[in-house]
Amino acid sequence: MPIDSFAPIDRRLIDVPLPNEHDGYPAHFKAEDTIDVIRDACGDTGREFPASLWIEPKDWPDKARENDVKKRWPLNYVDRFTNQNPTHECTCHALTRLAEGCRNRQRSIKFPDGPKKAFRYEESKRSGSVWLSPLSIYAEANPRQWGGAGCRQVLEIAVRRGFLPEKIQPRDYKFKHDLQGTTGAGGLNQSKGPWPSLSSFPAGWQETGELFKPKEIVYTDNWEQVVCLVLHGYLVEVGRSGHAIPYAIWNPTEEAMGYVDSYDVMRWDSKGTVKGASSGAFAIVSMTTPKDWLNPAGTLPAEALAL
Amino acid sequence: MIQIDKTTAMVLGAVVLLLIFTNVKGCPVGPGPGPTPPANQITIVTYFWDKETTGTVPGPILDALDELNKRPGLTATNFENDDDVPENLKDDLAAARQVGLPAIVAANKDRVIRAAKDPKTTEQALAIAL
Repeated sequence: MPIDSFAPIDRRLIDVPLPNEHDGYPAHFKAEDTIDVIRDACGDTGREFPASLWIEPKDWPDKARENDVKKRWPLNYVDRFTNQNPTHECTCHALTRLAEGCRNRQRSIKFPDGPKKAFRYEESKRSGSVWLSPLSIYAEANPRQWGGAGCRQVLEIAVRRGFLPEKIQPRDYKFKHDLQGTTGAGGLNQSKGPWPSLSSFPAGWQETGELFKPKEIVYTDNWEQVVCLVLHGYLVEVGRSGHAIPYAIWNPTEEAMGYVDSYDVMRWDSKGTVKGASSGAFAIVSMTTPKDWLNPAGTLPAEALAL
Repeated sequence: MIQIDKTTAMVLGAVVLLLIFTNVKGCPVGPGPGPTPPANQITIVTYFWDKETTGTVPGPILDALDELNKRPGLTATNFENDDDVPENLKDDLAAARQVGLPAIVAANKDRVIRAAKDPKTTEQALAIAL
């Protein structure tokens, strides 16, 4: 179904509260995730929202219309849903959407309808899309497994030592090291498995982590900057109401922000919620680039690269 | 009349076919390397840009790269001006810097074919691969 950012939104999908037991982003983490803290977490990779990306709010509808026609939403660089149910891994599911979406944007391959539940795009295999494991970050962020993590926390880990790929991929990359994606429900495009302590990661895993590191982060100061990043095609991670999610499309009619929820579904935040969530928001705008997108770890023989 | 058993007939037929195809230009037999691609065949297109001047990859360029990626045997990507470029793109980046960033560069694994400065439209970007 073609994406129409102006379409009416089912009220049941706006400002959806998750059950308390799904609280992967408790209030104390929200209090810590300020722009200053995010700036520190980014280190040399971080920069403030650049003026060149500003779009006047009066121009947002025109930009949205263009994005609909040309498929330039961040949503169009996301080729899968993940499903964390019933875990507390949300910050890392959101972060892997940002990292994967950024890689796909660099790879310049669009997925026409965005992520679809229990569906695998042929383009994912053809382009060399790589699916990253949320657990590869969350296991270090919270060794106790339950209780969630902070957006700053998980970003700092990813910037420092990168992600591991999941055990399910759109094609066989023969990664030396991989990790199950979630201890939750998973799905067609996400592997699930038992809780992995950091000490149980495959030996030498840091080598593969280096291949999937954020190189540049843009952090925002206000909600309008968040909307501008989304209009430019960048996923933005925010945490609010006990849950962290990646913003992926702006609806000018409803003034609501759609996100790729880690429950196999698209949901929406109202403008009020977006305003409250935007402190400490960030986008990954650059990831490490492989020499060969179809052989990102360099482990495949030449004859295996033919489609 | 000469009687030939089935197996012999099949072998003779295969030999005949082999002789035919080895004498047809452009049709290699067996696991050979195949026809040599032309020296100027474009298999890689890269848009190089600089965050300080370009800000982000313009939408029409992303559209063009996505379109080019649908062509078999062609990989189109974008890369921000950075010395940490993969080894196989170093010459391409040098060509882009020579014409001035942002630039789109068409190449293959052996050499840079052409570079064009600052394409504004999807059509201008697609033209690099003509």
